[in-house]
Amino acid sequence: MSDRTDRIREIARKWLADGAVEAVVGWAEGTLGNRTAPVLIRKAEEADRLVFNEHCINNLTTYLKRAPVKGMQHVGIVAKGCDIKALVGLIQESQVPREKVKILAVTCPGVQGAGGTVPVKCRACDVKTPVFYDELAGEKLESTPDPDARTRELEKLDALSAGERMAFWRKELDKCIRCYACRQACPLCICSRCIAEKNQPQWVETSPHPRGNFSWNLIRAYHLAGRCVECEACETACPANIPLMLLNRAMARTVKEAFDYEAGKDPEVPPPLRTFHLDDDNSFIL
Amino acid sequence: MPCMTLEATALSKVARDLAGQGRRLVLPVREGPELFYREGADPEALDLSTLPKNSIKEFLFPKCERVLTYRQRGNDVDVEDVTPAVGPTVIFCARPCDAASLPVVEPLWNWDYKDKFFNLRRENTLIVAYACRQAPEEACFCVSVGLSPSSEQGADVLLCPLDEHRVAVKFLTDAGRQVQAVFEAYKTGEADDAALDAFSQEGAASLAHRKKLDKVKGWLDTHFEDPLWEEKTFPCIGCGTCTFLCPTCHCFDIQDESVFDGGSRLKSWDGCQFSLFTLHTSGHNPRGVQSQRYRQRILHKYSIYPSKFGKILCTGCGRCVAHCPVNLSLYDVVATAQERAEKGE
Amino acid sequence: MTLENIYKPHRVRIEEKRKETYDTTSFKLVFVDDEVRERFTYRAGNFGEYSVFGEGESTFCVASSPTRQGYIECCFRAVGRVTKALAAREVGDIIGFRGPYGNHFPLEDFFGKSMVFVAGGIALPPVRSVIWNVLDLRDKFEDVTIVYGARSVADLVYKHELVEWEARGDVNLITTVDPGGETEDWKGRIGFVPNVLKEAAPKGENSVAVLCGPPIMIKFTLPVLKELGFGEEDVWTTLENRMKCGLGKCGRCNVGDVYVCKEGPVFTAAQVARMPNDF
Repeated sequence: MSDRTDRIREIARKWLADGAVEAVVGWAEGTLGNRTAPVLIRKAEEADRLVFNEHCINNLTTYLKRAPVKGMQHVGIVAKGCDIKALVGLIQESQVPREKVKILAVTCPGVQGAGGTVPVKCRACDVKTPVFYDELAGEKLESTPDPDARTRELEKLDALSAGERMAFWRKELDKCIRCYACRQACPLCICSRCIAEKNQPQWVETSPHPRGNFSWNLIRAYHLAGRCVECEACETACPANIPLMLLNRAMARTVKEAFDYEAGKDPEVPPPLRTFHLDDDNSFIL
Repeated sequence: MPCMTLEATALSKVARDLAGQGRRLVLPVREGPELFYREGADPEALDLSTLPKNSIKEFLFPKCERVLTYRQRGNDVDVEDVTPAVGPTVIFCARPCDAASLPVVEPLWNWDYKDKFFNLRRENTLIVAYACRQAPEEACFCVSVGLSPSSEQGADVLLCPLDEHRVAVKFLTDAGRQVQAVFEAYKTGEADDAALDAFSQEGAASLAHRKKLDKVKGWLDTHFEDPLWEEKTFPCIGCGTCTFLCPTCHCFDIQDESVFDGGSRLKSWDGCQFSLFTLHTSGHNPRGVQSQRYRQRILHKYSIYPSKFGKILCTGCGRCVAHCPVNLSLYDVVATAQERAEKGE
Repeated sequence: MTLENIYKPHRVRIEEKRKETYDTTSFKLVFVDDEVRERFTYRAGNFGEYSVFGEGESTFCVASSPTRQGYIECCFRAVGRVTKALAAREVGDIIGFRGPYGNHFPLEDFFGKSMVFVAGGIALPPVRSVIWNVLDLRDKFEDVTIVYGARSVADLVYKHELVEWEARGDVNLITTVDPGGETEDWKGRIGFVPNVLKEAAPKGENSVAVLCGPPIMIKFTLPVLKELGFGEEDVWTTLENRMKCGLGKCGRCNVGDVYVCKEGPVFTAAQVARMPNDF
């Protein structure tokens, strides 16, 4: 991984020295042995703070929606293949102008999840070598996605009766403490005022009880349908260990079946839930 | 004075016996890669391998609690008081940083107005603390805030695992002494002061690398606009994890939720890290930027609360450091303030 | 251990409702419970949490004077969920009131002094509680000057009381509206409150100023008061901040280490000057 680190530093240094970007968002050494921390560097000399290793799990594109990056004209961002999918989504939705972001892509063999496990997204990864970027750091890697990785856990849920499935979700969502870490970590949760923050009327009950928790988590899953790139930032951030990705993958599966679409792959392909054609299938309505 | 010891394998049985005396039982158990304090878990599932991810806060200050109910009746409204049905509870094997959080937050819940919801639960909860032979997590820093891995603060009974087999038991309060017989049924020996001292020292030594944060308040009181806040807090995504996992964070929201003409007024966990927390209806927000909100959290814990109640609103449990999704370490920020204070910056 | 529920409001009946401006309403509220009505006391400057059950609570001052027993008054602008619901209530409806909370104006310290009240727009209600408190004890004070202004005539609240104060011989009332805010028959001044205050020039010696208004008004009024000879310890104001519990526990309202709900909302200008930029 160390030559990736060197190459990232080299590219970031150049971009900053040339004034191509005002700042670069990347990963730096963390304060705990098995972590890295997001960092914003503004000067070429700071480029040596950037690292890349198996602990670079955070999706840095979430910083594009927040100050100070939000107000910048040009910013560099170090990104893995999965992170870039989120960026593709943001560009498709006109949230981030393409010309604003210089993508410093990095080939990635996979990152380490909680307890040293291999995240599902890494097992299913088809972008070990990203395809959408400005500069690429690291030797090219071949993607060998496990075709069942994303659906294995869903099939276990499919096999349950509706009542059993409801009981499962009731137990899991009861743990929710409404910290909104999922929303804050998600790069595609971009509403300047979240539906959960509106009180005229109060669309979503804010208190952490089963009814409110169902509302919140299901609404978030719906708002991400066709948009979620399965970067797992939400589930990684969740302090209550709720298997949020099961909801998101279930939605992604339905979108794939109904529209043959996967989010974040191709910036040229319009997202199905944001486009309308007269010959769209309406059979489920009529 | 020597104190009794029992076998580590007897702890589950003690838990079961304490529950058997008519108590709700809370103890740390494993769920996947992590431990959680769970109510009603099987005593045999007791897992002491590390610090649980959640704190014991939720058992005295639930994440969501009804404080009253109401029902409209024409232009009148019936308002009913709510008193939580609280029976005796035992939190078995709470770590010292969790036990110590209770005396820290008690003054707040009783500052002029006495919150019966917390007080009822506190009065009915027996704390059996389990000292740490060595700091269980890399993120721990209890010694920095004047505590230690074998602190007795907030505990009724303190268990000290002297080695793999022997656990010393200290009865610290009247409530603790009332259950002495339950533990003595499993007594296998005694431990003297020297053994207990050695145990405490081993624990403290495991955190010798942690700074004493004794000059932080002075620095915080004079550096409100310091660039440190923006420097350090870029990664913060305002997610609330640190606040909700923290044993001493106690901020809350009050919301009414109705179904037709009746409903409840609910008190739920809230946090200063959320942008909505201080937002005025006019749209003005005194803390509209995350670095300001992060500053507030540190100031509240290390300066404001000490000014008001003489205690740091932190027990150094390290959950904020370990579980921050972006690895922004509160300890690192506060330790930096301490360093600057030491250098006179 | 007390089982009193500190979060449970008293029930109060709306006895009078007045639409003060297009978005401001005032209520006169009477406690439903006889005992509470007899016992209830408060001080000028205290605030309360006013409930619409099912919508929530909103924080505003008690706008009436404690010299008048048996009822309390409030005045608020309908901008949010709770205030809009409150504004929709009618006479006879029961709402909730929790309080009195906060500190108060130390009226006894003002005895023997002249009082200068300066208020802008919707900020009259907290000042009004002190005004009536002073007028009800009129012989304990020297001169009483009131400077009250708003953006336009329509934005002035408690208009019927302005008429009363105008009519009194022992009060010097000066009302003003911003340039462009006057109506054809407007008899008061035209100009911003700080300027009008400067023209009126009440002396600062042996005087206390009570000042409430939007931040911009406060910013420009403080120097005028200083010029007139008011010391920073003699200028009193109230601060607003986002509140929920009103009793020091929910952690929301602090400005630095000052909890507005406990150590405020009444502060001297000197205290406010010492506060960090946290409000």
